[in-house]
Parts: sequence; C-alpha cells; structure tokens
Amino acid sequence: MKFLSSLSDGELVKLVREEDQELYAVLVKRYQDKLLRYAQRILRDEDVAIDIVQEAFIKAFKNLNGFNINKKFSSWIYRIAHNLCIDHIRKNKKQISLEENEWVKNTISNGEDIEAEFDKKEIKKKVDKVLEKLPVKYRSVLTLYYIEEKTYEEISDVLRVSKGTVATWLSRGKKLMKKVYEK
Amino acid sequence: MKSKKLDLSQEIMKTIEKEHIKMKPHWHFVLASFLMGFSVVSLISMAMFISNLIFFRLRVHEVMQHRAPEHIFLWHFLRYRFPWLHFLILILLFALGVYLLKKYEFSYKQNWKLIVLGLLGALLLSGFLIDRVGVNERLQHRRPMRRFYEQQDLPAKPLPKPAVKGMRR
Repeated sequence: MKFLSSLSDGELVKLVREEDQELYAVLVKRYQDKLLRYAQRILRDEDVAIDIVQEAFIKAFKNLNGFNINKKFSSWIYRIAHNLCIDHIRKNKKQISLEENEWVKNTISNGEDIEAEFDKKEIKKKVDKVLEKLPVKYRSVLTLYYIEEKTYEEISDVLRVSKGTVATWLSRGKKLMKKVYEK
Repeated sequence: MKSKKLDLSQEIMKTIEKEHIKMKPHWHFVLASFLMGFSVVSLISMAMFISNLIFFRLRVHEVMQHRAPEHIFLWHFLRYRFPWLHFLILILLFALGVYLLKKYEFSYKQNWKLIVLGLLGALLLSGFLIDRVGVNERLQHRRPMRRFYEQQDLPAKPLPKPAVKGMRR
C-alpha cells in the first residue's frame, strides 16, 4: 500500500487500465473527500453531493481509457464532478439559482477594489459562510481557488473557461462575497 | 459532517463489480476523436464550398458590377437575386463547426472570439478565391456536378426595369 501511495495519479491510472482495476479504489480514496467538499459547496445538499460524487467516479471509471495521462487527473475528475453538479442544478433550477440576479449585477458593477481588504487567508475563513448565497459560477470559482487551492490554470481546465475569465469571475465573486458578508 | 466519515471507495468498487461496469475500450475514444476531427474538417470544407457558391451566384448574376446602391436595386437584389438559401446553409454549417470546435481544449485556452472571427474571415476569403480561380467553371462541365450547377445558374426572377435613371441591369 505504501508503494501505491507513492505513485502519481497518472501512474495509478495506467495500472488500473492495464493491470488491476481494483486499484481504482486508491484513486477514489485520494479524491473522494475533496470532491465531496466541492460538490457540497456547489449543491448545498450533502446527500445529493454524495450521489453526484459516486456518479462522477463511476463515469470516470467508464471513461478512464479516454483520459490523457499527460494531463492532470485532478482537473479531469473535478471537471466530471462539476458537470454533474451543473446538470443536477439545471434539472432542479427552481431550487438553486444558476445565474446572476439583479442584486448580483448591481454589486458587480459597483467597482470597488476589495483586494487590499480581503486577503486570501481571510477570505478562506469567511468564504464558507457567504458562499451559499452566490450564483453557482462564482461559488465554483471561489471554492476551487480558496478552498481547494487550485491554480488559475487548473480552474480553467475544470470550468473550461479562459484564465482571463477565471480572474474576472474571481474578482466579481470577491466583490459579491464582501457585500454578502457585510449584510 | 457525514462525508468526513464516509469511504466511498468500497461502495463504488462494489457497484462496478455488481453492475458489471466496464471501461470503454481505447478504440472507442480514438474513433470518437477521429469522427470529431472528420466532422469539423467536413463542415469547414462544405462551408468553404457554399461560400464559394455565394460569390459565384453573385458573379454570374453580375451583381458585383452594379455600382449604384439605389434602394430599389438593393431591394430587388436582396429579394430576388441574393442566394439566401446558400447563405442560411453557410450560417448553419458555420454554427455547427463552431459548436464542434468548442469541444476542443484550445477553445478556452486561446482567444475564442478571435478564432471564430478568423474562421469566418477564412471561409469568406477562401470562398472568394475558389470562385476567382475558376473552380466553378471547371466543375460546371463535369458530370457529377453539371446538374447541380445548372440549378445554381437559374436566376430566381428577372430584375424589373430600373426605376432610377442611369441604373444598369
């Protein structure tokens, strides 16, 4: 087992594909907590998040031969889970807001620079309290950046938007967070 | 938190075993990737050909030689001579091509708006150049395309007599 833990994700994927499918459990163990945490923040429902994460791992298993081992497995699995979360939200649109509302737009257009006030560590502490009030796209980007500590490049791969868009959503998300927090 | 104590790995492995879930074979992804590439190339090639036909239609009806942009001429030109069907097919092919290109990784890594504008420009330019080098004239007399071009050449309706003095047909 110690040998397995020293393997990279790519090496493990290769082993699962070519030698022993049971080793997929190691990959699941590596990512289950992170994905659950992410899905819970996006969906705000623990039971649904568990179902979605299980579905994501099954889907990833089916498509494992399509994964390019030169790419990051974490971005790939996050992407699958993210898509399933979005699909779930779309199916239950009435319960969870996916898009921006008027308040969001007004807050974003109020061009304050809050960078100085809210540094990364401070945001990380406060982010959980206010995250659930934000639209999904800002919730995703803020969770990936502050909670999962992903880079712009990784977030760009998970959400399939440019790094510039990631930066914009992050900046708008911070503004929104500050407004929610001040309320 | 419930999830902190959870270990999904056993449950997932059980589901995989119980439901006989198999990994899709490697060739499945190779084929999907090939079909995707083939579809993109086919759509772009078709769009180039349609774009060329638009320029051809405009040329054979001498639309390009009308200098006067009088409103009457423009109205009749748009109503009777402009190849709207080709134009709609071009838009459709272009939209489908863009939709498929969006699935590629470069679509979000590069400047997407620039890629789309570049593709549109390239389609129009290639259509214009294909027509200018006389591809249509050559294809027109070849068997599989002859009938197709006969249909292309038929003007929809003749232009009415010019209402504005000095306007040429």
